[in-house]
Amino acid sequence: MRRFADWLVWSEGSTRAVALVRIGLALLLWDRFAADMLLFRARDALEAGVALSFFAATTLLFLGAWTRAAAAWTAATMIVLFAVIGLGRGVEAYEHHHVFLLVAASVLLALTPCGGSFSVDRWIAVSRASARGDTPPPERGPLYGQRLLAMLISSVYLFATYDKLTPAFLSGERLQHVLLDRYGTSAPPPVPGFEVVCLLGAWGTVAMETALAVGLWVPRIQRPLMVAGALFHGMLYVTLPVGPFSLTMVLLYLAFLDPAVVHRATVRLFHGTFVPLSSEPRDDRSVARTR
Amino acid sequence: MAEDATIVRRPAGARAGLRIAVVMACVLYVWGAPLLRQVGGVRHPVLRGWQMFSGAGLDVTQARYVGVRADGAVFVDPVAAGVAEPGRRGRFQTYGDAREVAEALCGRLGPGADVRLAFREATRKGWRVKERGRVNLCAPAVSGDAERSVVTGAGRAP
Repeated sequence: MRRFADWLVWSEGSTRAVALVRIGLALLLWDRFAADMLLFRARDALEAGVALSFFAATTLLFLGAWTRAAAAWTAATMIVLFAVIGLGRGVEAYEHHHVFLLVAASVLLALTPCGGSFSVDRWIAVSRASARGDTPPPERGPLYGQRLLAMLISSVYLFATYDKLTPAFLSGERLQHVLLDRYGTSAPPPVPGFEVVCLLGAWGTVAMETALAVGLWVPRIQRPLMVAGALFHGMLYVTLPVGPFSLTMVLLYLAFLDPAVVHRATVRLFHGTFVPLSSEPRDDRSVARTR
Repeated sequence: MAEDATIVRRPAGARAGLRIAVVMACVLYVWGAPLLRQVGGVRHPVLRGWQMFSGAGLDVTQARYVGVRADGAVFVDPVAAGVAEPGRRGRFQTYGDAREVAEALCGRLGPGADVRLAFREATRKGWRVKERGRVNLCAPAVSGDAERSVVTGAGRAP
């Protein structure tokens, strides 16, 4: 139990993984909402306010400027969009689970030190340290927000699988409906073996989502599963109107990765070789290496 | 210590308690909300589940027309026969639309024609078969209603 609490609540590590999530999530929020938030679409002062809030908060989030406040501001804006405009005013598009995934991810991102890397905040911190002749502060912060983002993805996969454990889905019939809705007519489908393909697709979907819900936590099979999951979501993205949902799921795979691995990968990517920066944590009461 | 190393650091005091409370609340919501909604059946706007495609494709219908001639049965395309202008993306919206098209086909083919319709529509429980194609819809005495059946799940017609 103590080990689990240490892992979930008290771990600290590189901030680069959540910084990448921050940048990606800001882009996905623009992809989904920017066109809706254009000011001429606002029906009243509240919607105009939400639109302005959205653009200001997400811009700061993307840049990583005053990031802690920007992330909380973005999360608050998304909650208002979902709860007040979606649920309160009955705008169906904002009640959808695609939107709710973005809301939940924004809220959990606000619990991460996502401005610790690849950000204006980091640039300022490094510049100040340099001016004082100090070493730059470490790119390290609490990981509990990152753990929660990973849990969110597992929960999505697990309950999506649970929802599909019905005779209608497992017989392939619901998948037939979904595909015929977008590609079919009332005439029998011209594709030979269409029903068999849908049957295999239904079972394959359930198997894939179950594997992703559990397997992304297992380091040994994590990376092949991420590739398989990305292909799975990519296929959904190009065939069905899933919008940024698929891309959000794949982006949040970063939350499953060991932050140290992401850190080393980005160092290698940006500096050519891995050069660990030495920096001891300050004023800690209890420090122990876990990896 | 390398900057990228993962460490464990426990802050003391109220900050630690606050962090534990926040993390526990988030864990409970992330797992508990879909559990209550999808497994427990609790309906509340704040409790969100993850039910993908649950409402997709529910207006899908499938209709197959068969004309029976002395030399055997042939499929009939009502659009090609000029008696149907399908709705959205070539789809008949309702069973009634499909029946009207069948009647128009009867008129086009003339006296003694034999046209049968197999029709099914999408529901959350699978295909619901409305007509199995066993009745000649051109026969004046037969309404077709007696033959119409409703099957939930694993519908095989058309």
